[in-house]
Amino acid sequence: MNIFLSLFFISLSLLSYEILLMRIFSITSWSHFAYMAISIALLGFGASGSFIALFRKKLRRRFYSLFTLFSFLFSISLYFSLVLSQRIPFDPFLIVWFKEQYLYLLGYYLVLFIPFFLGASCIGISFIRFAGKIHKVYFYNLLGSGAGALAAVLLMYILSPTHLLLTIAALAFLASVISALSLSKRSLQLLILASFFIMFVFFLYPPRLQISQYKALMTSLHLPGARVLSQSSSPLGVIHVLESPAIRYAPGLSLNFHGELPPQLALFIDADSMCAITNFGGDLKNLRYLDYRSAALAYHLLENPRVLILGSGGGSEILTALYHRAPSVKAVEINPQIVDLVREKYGEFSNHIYSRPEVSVKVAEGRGFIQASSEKYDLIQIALLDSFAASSAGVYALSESYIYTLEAMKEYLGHLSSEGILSITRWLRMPPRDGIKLFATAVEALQKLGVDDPSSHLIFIRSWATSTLLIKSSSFTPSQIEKLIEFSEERLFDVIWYSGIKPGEVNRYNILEKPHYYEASSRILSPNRDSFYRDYLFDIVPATDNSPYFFHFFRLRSLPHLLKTMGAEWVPFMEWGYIILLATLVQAVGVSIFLIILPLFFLKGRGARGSRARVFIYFLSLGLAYMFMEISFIQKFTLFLSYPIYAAAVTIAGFLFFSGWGSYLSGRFSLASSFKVAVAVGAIIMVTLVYLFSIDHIFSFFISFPDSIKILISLLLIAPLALFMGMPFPLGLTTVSSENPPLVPWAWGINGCASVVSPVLATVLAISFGFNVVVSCALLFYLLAALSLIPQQRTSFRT
Amino acid sequence: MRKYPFYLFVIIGLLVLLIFFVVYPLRGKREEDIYRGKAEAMVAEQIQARGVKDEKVLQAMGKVPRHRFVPENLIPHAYEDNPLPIGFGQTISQPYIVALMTELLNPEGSDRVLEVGTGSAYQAAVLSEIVDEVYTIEIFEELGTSAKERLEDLGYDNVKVKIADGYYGWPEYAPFDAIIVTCAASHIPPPLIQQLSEGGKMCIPVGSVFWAQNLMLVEKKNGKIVSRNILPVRFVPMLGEH
Repeated sequence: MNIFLSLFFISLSLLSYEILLMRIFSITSWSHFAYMAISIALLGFGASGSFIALFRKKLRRRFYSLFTLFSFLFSISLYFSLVLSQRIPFDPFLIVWFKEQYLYLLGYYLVLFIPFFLGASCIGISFIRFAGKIHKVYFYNLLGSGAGALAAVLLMYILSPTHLLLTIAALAFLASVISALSLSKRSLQLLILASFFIMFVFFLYPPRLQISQYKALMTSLHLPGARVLSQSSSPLGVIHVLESPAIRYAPGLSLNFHGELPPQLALFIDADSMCAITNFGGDLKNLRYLDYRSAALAYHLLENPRVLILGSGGGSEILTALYHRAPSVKAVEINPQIVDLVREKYGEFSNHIYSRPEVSVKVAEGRGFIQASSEKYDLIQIALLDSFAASSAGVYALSESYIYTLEAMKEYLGHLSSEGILSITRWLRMPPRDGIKLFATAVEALQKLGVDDPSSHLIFIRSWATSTLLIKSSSFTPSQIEKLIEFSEERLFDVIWYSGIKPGEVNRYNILEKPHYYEASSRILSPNRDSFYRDYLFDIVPATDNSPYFFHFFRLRSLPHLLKTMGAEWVPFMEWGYIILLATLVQAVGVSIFLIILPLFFLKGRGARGSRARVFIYFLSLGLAYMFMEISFIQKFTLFLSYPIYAAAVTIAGFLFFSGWGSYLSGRFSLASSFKVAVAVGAIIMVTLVYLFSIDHIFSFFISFPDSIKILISLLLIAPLALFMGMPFPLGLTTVSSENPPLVPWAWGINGCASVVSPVLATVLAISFGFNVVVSCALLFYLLAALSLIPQQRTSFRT
Repeated sequence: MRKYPFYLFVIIGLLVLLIFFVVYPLRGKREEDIYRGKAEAMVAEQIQARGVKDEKVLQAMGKVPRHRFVPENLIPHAYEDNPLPIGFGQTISQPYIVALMTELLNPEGSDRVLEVGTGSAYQAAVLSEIVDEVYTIEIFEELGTSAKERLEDLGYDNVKVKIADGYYGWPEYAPFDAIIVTCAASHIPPPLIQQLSEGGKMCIPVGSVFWAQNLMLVEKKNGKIVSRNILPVRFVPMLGEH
């Protein structure tokens, strides 16, 4: 029992640590590199399989002492791997030019790999020691992992990342002490003493996070008079509020603006994405600069609009609405800490904008809010909140965003009053892509809503740094077009599109080599839109809820063309995200192949080739299938639960918890394993197919229910699926254990490798084909796993 | 103890003097020659090859010792085709971008140029080879101080360095015939546009510290402002078009 409890805490610490590392690297560096480093480090699971396969007998013989030793080292390694990783001078941006950066990256992999290897080894050797109780080992493993997912997210509200690390390390020490209960009294005492002493030292010297000097916060800290006023942390990010007289934020401000900006405080999320809290001294005239941004256009075409702002952040868009005397402003902001800061701590500085009578604030995710709301608005404004530097380097390519999908656009248009306008502002990226994809999304959304000729429903302008697209359910009127021209001329903004625009009217103030935006807009509105999509250098096909990667623009077949015309250095800087994804996939597959093949040299004669092939197919398929399902359902629940971080926590915890029970139950019935696997796979396929056809209806029925009910519904939906998904792995491993024990660690390793490759592969597939294809692939893998057991009746996994 | 003849000491002494006065300076000269060679190669392969034609700019780029403007540990990389980190989250731009920005300003000998964001002062040094007066402002004190010293050491006496917030420009010396902003900003400071002379040009990189996504060239003509968006590379939007 002690070992199982210990296993629970090790699994808990492992998963919490993985989530914490993602969080920490998002703060110190950029999330796409964190993704790669942690994915590769997770191959520690695969490596533990190889290691155990090599020393199986010795490990089995001295199980208790080795388990305790590994868990103890695991606890220590959690601390040191983070401390060392913070000392490696790896800088993602330098990797293009300085080859030594590859060595640093390798250093990253190695130091992060160690805790995963040690933790996974504890789990792996438990499988060979408790061969008859594999379902129980797996049960505690999954239960612990589920608790870890939930604990990490919840604890992030009350603990800073470094304190969370210390808590995780303490839990890992607890695991090693529990396991030591099976050893001699002296060993136990020694371990308790050592654990306390080491934890004491850890608390005395907590790790310090080294934020990259190229993140906006770090650069701003060098500004004259710069001072961090406050710092707060949550699963949604670490927020720094910085004061300096040199802080001035007005993205894309017109070159024709003559005047001063009011004092501002900078608000950084994860040390980068910046927005401003503005002190206008209560006099709205001081906000004139906000009217000199392309995002202000809609206010010139509407009178006294009732406004909805999605992503209100520091409040710039609220101020713009107030400047234009909007009678009612509803501001939706996903991060409650930002709302608290602007409303409470810096309430006076922000002139209490969030508390004004005409302003109401709702803490929610934009898409989720609008889905659950039945109100209509005259203006829906989608603010520009991501950082330009990260956006221009394609850092967000792997981030799913349900704000800019085709379905979202239809939803927004459905919430507009008869003359209402939807206004979306994006950074102007060169070569053009964001704005063009947005325009294509708007055109297709209008057509899907039954508008035959969308051209008169669209207005598109650009400043030197931003583009703003206005979409209306009805046509824009001639007087609105007149106001558009007047607004743009006065501010030196270029009009890209309105119905009736002439080629001579475009590309006049911020002159591009060619009128790329106008040409693209014309082509998207023309009948040969599909050929334009096909031939364009970037992927500008509208994102959908099924493949919500609005920020993904990279096309593999464009690569030779890009390299030829733009040069080798340009490509990574434009589309880092996708390149990292592919690099991660190649590395993960390469290392996995090595880790899977290596033990085979030591397993010679341990089973016929046929049985090894079946073990390989079975556990590889399961590893891929499980993660494919989990990732796809995280996406589906993100849309339902609104908050991506909660959706991930609830879904992962739900899947692991119920799979754990599935594993437990799988050992309860005395039926043939192959039969049980067939039943489980049949049930998984059936439940999934039912969900694929019904889940959207279930979601739309419950969408406006309170969050607690939605979480409950989610867990109820996950339960049957996850329960059956938890069965095939322990059943297969039990069979291998009874028929060909030396292959158990190998199977564990294969599953570990597949679990690392599958999230990366799932993202590649989802970007290209959508999540429904990922789910279909998962079902095929389950089917393949079940089929690989068929010959078992004759030869089984046996020699 | 064995006695050594006196002439042996004389010969050794002469040899030491020879090494000190002739060989050592030659070694330094050879080092300078190596860097000059690197600078020439940089101009030919990275700058001219990409289409920068202005002779004044090419000469200045060939003349300014870029290796003196980078941190010591990066000297071997000074003439490579990339930006280099100089601390404080700042970089010295890629040689081609420095040349292109300078060419876009079309500087004349008698021009008065303002630079916002001195950094290592490399851009200021290049400008000072072409124009009479260069004014450069750095907001980070440490960078500004070392830039000032570096420029003095290298004898660039037509460059004035100020440690201040460049947002407000340098009104005492305004208007400027050209303004170059070497740091990316969320917006172009209105005071800088005001300090641009009639017919003047301003160049600003747009993007991250490492990679200028594009350059903005702002021109003031007859009191009106027009800007051009310049991509440092050729962009062909459609596949199959060349």
